[in-house]
Amino acid sequence: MQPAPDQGRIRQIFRQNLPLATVLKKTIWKHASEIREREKCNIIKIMNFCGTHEWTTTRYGIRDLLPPFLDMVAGPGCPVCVTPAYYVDIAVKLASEGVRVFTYGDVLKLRSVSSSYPASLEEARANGGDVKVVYSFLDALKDAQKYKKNSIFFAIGFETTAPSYALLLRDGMVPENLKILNALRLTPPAMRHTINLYQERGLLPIRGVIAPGHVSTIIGASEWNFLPEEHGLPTVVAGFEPIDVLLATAQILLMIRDNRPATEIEYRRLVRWEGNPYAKNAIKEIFEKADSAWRGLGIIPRSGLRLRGEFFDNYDALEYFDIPDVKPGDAVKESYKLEYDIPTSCKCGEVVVGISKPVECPMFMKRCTPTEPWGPCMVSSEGTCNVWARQRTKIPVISGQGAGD
Amino acid sequence: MCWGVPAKVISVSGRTATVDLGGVRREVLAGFEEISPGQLVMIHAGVAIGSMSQEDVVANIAIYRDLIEEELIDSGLDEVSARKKANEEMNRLLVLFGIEKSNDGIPAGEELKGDSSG
Repeated sequence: MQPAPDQGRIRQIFRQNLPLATVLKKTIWKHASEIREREKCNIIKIMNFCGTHEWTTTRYGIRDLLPPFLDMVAGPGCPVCVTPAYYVDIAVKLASEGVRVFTYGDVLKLRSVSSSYPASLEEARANGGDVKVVYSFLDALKDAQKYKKNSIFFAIGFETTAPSYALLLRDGMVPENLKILNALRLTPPAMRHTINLYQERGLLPIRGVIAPGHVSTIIGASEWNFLPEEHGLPTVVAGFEPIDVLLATAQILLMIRDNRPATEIEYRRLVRWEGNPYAKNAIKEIFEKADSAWRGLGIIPRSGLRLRGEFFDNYDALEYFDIPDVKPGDAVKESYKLEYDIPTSCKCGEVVVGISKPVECPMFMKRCTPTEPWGPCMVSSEGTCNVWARQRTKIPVISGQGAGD
Repeated sequence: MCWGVPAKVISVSGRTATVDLGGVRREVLAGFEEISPGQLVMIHAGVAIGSMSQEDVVANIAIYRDLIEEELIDSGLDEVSARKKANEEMNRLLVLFGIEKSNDGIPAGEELKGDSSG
């Protein structure tokens, strides 16, 4: 099969890297065609774990450059999407009861499911609730020091955000009136869960993984070795430029073609095999791994971070306000059902692991839009539905510096 | 929230650093030990999660240069011209990745090897 005649598109996206983009495109077509021919397969599926990789892939129309039988699917790498509705309910409830809730901006529109309270933190704020959007935990901490009354930080995020809590707690810089509503999640267990889910459901398997760049800056690329070693999956830790995603795709296809799965680092300007030991040590000192709930996916073993010992006693918001957490075996689990977690008719539970595409959801761009999101994948700029929705109106331009998990 | 932004470190004070985010100055948490003024760092949710050195960038993009060089030779250019043109392309990448380029883009004396094996 010959590459589609889309030199104009490449020129538009890769103005500054035209020769390289052209070479990579040809390489990708060549390797993918060889694999397809050899294996007599109709589709080769590659997963980009991270929401920002999905953003780059969609925003710059990278799928248009790839063979139609190369299916780039998005994985569960959007922390806002996978935060259980139960925690949103708690944040909304506390904000409505006079507790100051600090949050990142992209969490504001995330919908709660309980009908007893406002539908989101944004609505709670409009109704007089004390909700403050901050840039970072550091900024929330400074505000809480002056405020002196009860406040919580809605700690949504992956391994990249964990160091801010760990370093500041370790150094005793967090005032005791600031509690942490802890929704911190770990990415490798979610990737493992996703691979298993495809196997259990007998779905067309994922053949390679583009692993998150910024998460790997913290945890180290070696944390992804289980993918090639246990699942035979070529894995490339990639940056967030369009050229990074193209190169990672080419590297994965080459490994599939040669049947030599391994972990490789494409994002060498930031990622090391061992990660960031300073941040990792602080995280280990302050947190321990715990079985944790993912919205739409249920409980995933050892996939979250729980505060240890005295830090849990002094700073955990659920502990302080005497609210039960979602854990296997708890009574809460009985009320923690997936049908509760995902709004009616929303397919985010499948979109978040790449089983369904946003356009396959009956709510997409009808009841559910970026301005009025219904499902969690439409809320954040890293959510697959949000990325797909916004792409409709954007004109491709050259990317700036990298971004993402 | 998870958007990463590169920034230049202006000053360091204990646990925090003041960085320049494309003209905007902001106090961030130092997320690694060897942070110092002048460094190019990646900022993520208010934390400097890692630094990027020119050497890292060059190592990262060496494979890009070799790929371009190969393509240029394939298209009929001689090896010397292909290498020169590929190096010019690298200049553009160094700028794109936020690294100040040296006079000829690739640091003098650097012998670049394409290697994607990690």
